[in-house]
Amino acid sequence: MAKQQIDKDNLQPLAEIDRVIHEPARLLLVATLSVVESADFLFLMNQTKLTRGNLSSHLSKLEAAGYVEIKKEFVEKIPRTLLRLTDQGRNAFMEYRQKMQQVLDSF
Amino acid sequence: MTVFNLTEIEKKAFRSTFQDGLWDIFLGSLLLVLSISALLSNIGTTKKLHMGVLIVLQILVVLAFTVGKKRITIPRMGFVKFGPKRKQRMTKSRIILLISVLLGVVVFLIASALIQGNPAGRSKLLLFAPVAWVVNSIIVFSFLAYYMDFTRLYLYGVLFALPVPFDVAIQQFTELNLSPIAFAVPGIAMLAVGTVLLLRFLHEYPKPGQEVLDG
Repeated sequence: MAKQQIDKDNLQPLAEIDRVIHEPARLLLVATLSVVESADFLFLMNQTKLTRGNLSSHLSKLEAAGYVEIKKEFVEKIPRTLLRLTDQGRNAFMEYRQKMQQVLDSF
Repeated sequence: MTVFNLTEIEKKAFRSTFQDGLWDIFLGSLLLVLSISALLSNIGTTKKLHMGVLIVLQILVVLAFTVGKKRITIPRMGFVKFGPKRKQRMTKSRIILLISVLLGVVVFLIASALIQGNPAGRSKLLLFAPVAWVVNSIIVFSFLAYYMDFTRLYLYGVLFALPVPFDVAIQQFTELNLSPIAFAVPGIAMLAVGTVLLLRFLHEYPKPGQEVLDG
């Protein structure tokens, strides 16, 4: 009974893991965006090696969660899709890292 | 144990901007400009002419580098603005470069003063110029390599440092003036590395279609 309680305590952070960030492709995107101020769609595509469709769909999910801000602009008549991690996204990623750390440390 | 090494992710992203070989071509071209200037000096053109050619060509090399980054690298690799820590490191790199250029001007002025109307000054210059050149090159390139996380710059620091002492030593012992070759050899080596990297970059990163630009 006591052992079961310890296991439950250890695994509690696992249940609280942010599923939006936890998906591997989105995790890679959030980690990359967390180390830069902003980047465009092409840069992220090259860094993560995701396809255009994949990247676009994951970014939409991150935008819907309020983690990523997507801004479309024109630079010398060429379209540029600029992406930035919001403060909410940055905090969520920090929290995710802490929880994952706790989970991995407990193993 | 850390779950993510964000420093490494940032470094990897920043280093990826050096895959285009433009820095190698830029630095190699600067050495080739020095080689051309030395060649003009050897064939007896006026000091004004070879200094003028040196300045004009250096400006052209800097412009070509800037345009290359804007027209070749960004359209293929994408646009990125790095965070405050990286910006701080780049500011430090620029300050080091500025100090290096200022130091170069001071050394040049001292060297000119040593030679002018003083035959003994030339022998002092033979020791002073190569030492100043080597120290400046090694220190500046090492700092740049460190702050920019660009390891090839350590090697380029050595390649930049070598031509002047090599040239002075050859002139001392053989009385041959090989300045143009002394600058050209490392310059061509850097240019070759840069060209290979640039070709690989153009192959690996073709210009994206409209749908990618639209996101």
